[in-house]
Amino acid sequence: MKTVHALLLALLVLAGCSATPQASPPAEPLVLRLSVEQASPQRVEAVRGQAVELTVTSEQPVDVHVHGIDVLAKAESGKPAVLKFTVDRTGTFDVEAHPDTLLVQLVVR
Amino acid sequence: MTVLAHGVGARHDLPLPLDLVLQGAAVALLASFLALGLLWTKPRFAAAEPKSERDWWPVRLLVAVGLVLVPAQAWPHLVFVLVWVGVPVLSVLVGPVWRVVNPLRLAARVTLGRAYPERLGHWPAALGLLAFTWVELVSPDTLPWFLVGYAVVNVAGGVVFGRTWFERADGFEVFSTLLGRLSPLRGNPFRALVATPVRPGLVAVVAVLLGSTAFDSVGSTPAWERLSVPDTAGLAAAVALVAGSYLLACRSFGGQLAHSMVPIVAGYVVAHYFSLLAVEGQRGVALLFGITGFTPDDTLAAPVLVASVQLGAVLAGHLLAVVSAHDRALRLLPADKHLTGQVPLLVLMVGYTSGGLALLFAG
Repeated sequence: MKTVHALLLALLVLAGCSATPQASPPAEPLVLRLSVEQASPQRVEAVRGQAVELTVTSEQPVDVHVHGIDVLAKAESGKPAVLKFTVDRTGTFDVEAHPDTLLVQLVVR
Repeated sequence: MTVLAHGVGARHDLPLPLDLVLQGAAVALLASFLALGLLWTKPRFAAAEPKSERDWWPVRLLVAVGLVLVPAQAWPHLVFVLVWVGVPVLSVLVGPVWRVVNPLRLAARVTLGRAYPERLGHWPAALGLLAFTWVELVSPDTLPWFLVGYAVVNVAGGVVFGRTWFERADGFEVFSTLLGRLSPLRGNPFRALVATPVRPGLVAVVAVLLGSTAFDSVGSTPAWERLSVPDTAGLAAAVALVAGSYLLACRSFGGQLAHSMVPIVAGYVVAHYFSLLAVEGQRGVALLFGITGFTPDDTLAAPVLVASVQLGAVLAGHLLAVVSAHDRALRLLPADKHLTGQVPLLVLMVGYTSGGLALLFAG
């Protein structure tokens, strides 16, 4: 059991040391253009405190929202949804068109 | 009304950094084969079933009365966070709590006392857990229907078969009792683990628990969305993959080693749901008291803390599993196969652990 304890301890130290340091938010915003019809969701990295601008086009009237952040906008044919917000906490946030079309996943570090 | 990913919770954890995943997998691999060489060569842990408590019916009655007062909007958090995640975590800490608080167990007080068929074993529990995880991960809107079905089936089972029904066929109780064996407050966890009765369907229960949590990671990735495979198929495939790989690696033992998968399940549940419990658990409690605009404190979801908990839980689970499987294998294997006979199982466990870590990186 001693080996087990030593390994566990080594591991926790490892976890602590490997954490990446905090970066300061860049001045320019993260700008993304997305389409509901041609959704090909990817992961996009952002930095905490960075401004995000999403433009979402859709042929059908649809609600676009960001999970975990209270922003919501409507898109319809010829009138894209524009969402501007700042993410002030870390985590992975889904941008979805109602009801469950994933458009992009924001990874905020 | 917003539609929520896997029932509740809006934010996912950050992906675990790749270097941590690789280091973790390397530690698991190294520790497993070191353990094989360094650990004892004669079985040590005699089975010791933790004592079952007295009848807790007043607690259950209190819970039953309390449930009537739960506001409608609190139900998803109550079920998906406080019961589905809170109860297993509490079980690991203090022992099987679901049997204490489950109000449906009151039904066993008016039982007809029929004998529960041995052949059924834990199969109803495995099916119930699979149905629940489908509701959680694929179709959270069907929760009310699931709850009605769960209540009807378990009251009926309790009335016909009495307490045995809940011990063997109620998925939540089987889950909670399995993880409760790890509680350090109830004696040596290894002795409690090895006392797990091997019943039909035990492997299926473990496969559903591990497979569904794995699918929760996979199903939330953009890569999975791009595939456009139905979530139901993904969930079924994940469960089948876990069951198939276990049966392949342990074909000569059958369910005899299934108990050693329990720490892996526990480690992965903690890793996967720690931040959900820490953050959404607060909202759940607030909702129970009818507070809707509550903003949870997310200090506990800090990236470094979450990554440490995830890695620590997965690896601790892995090490407990390896030790427990080693001890059991010494009893099951003939002396000349003590070392070689354990290799397939060790490879399987390293596979589950590295797979689990990889999923925390991917999802």
